[in-house]
Amino acid sequence: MTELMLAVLETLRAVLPPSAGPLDEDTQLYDRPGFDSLAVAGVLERLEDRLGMEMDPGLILPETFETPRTIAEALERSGALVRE
Amino acid sequence: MQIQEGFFRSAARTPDALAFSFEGRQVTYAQAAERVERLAGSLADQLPSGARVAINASKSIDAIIAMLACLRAGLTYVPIDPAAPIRRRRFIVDDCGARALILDARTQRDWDAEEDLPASLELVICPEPRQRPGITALTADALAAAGRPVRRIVGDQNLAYILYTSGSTGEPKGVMITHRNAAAFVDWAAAAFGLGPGDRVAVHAPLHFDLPVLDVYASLATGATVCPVGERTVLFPEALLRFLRDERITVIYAVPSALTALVNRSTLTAGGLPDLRLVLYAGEEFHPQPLARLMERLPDAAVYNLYGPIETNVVTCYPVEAADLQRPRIPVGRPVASARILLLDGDRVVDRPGEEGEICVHGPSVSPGYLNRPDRTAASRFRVEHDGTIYEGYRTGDYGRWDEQGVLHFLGRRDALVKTRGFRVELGEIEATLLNHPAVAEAAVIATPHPEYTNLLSAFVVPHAGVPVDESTLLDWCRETLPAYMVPAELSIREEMPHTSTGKIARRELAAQPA
Repeated sequence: MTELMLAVLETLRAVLPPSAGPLDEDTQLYDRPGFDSLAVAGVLERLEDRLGMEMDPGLILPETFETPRTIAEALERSGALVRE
Repeated sequence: MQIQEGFFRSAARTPDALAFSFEGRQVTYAQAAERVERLAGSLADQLPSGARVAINASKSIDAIIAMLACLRAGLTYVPIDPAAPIRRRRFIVDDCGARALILDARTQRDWDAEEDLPASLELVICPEPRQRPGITALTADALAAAGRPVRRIVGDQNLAYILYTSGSTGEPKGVMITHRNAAAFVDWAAAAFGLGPGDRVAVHAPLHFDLPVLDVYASLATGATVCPVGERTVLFPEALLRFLRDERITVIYAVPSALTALVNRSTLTAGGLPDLRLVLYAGEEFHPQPLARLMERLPDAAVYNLYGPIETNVVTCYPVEAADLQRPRIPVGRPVASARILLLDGDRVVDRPGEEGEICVHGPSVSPGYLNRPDRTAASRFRVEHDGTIYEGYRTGDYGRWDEQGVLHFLGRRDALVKTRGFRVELGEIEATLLNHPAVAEAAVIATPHPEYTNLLSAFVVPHAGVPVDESTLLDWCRETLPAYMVPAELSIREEMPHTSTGKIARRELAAQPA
């Protein structure tokens, strides 16, 4: 797993309530309780702080937040470093 | 006059015009009116006039049609946040004694997982009816099929809807709104903003807010098209931008946090939304800086600041001009047609420019009070004699002053009610939630100003001696009870709390030390 994916998963775990259950790379986030507008804003803000970068505004779309993998891909396309 | 009547007048005048457009589905006024009448017919057969109907559904055409059907049947609807913790939703159903509950597929799953339903319920309308003892469950289609078109006229002092808002005692409180209250604002808004056929009005805020009252009832009364913004679209500034452009929205009414996100976090360029003629905002202050950026990118749109708490709906309005963007704060404006505003300093009416006073509202839009909370209602009232006239109504708890031109300026709050991301929050409700945790001895929640969200919430907690507890446990506790916007952004555990000489928690001191 890349460091970027780890950062995405750790951030999601910190933001979502425990009732959201376990997460992996392909968890469908919109099905999970607590994944609302504030969760999305919180996840994005924390990831941007942690990675020291900003997601391309044109990528901040519903489809980007379907799963942890799609979030990591959008960050990568916005210039995040990817280390194994 | 009842607030849904304008919709039926439009349906008679322009039956083939579009009443609703949502995610590819278009519904004409004639189609919508027929559906509303049929649903109302069945509801009126099953429920007495004035009964409460809880609507726990995501924003959609069907949810708005359900609201109209309740009103047509002489019932009072109670919209409940579909994303709120189920405990809070149950509290609201119990508190208002709802006889019926209207659900969509998503909220039905949440309620199906509950062992029993609140005792007041007798009718559940949902996509996949499930039998429970003592409950009639059926689909909206079955309900509509059984209904004969009906209208039940109720007086304008009857309740149209009840909106729940944060309460300082640890429980939300229901603000009762009569037809007369709502109509006072809706009639003014429809005329003031020149809404009419050809307008496509976005419904951006959730239905349990008071902003959609304008979007829905003022639009439908004037023959405009109501365009709900899908809940997923609301989450993403770029998706909102595409929605506004592709749906050719002409009017949007939203909280500043959402409009700030649109300008800061989307690819909106100057002139990129040529159809948008009117931007209305309310709910919190708009910082002049992001507001200036928004106005640069929407050079052809008129922008208005609307002010008023849920208890009175909008009572002042201010057209924002470029010159206002140099001010530290945008004024809240002049009183709108039906409202009389008095500034009170104790029992004295303050009316000289520059003098400060509490903003108090007299007029037809003032709510009769909080459901089942006569003490809270009484505490929120004022009565004063001024120039030989008795004025009475609602004390907002906000401070303001008049300027030389008779324009009202907002100065701040007198209590622990704050705004965050456009939501209104009683800090005491969050503190009460923390204190309900068995490990917590003392709790304080502080709001710190934030450029994008108005305020960020930080919690400080002192646990009972020797009881181990950590930050994430307490934040999870909050998440399971409170709506997301009330969960503190930060929480810190302290050995002791700073106190003032009178023994109160020293909030200023806490505010100076971040969590």
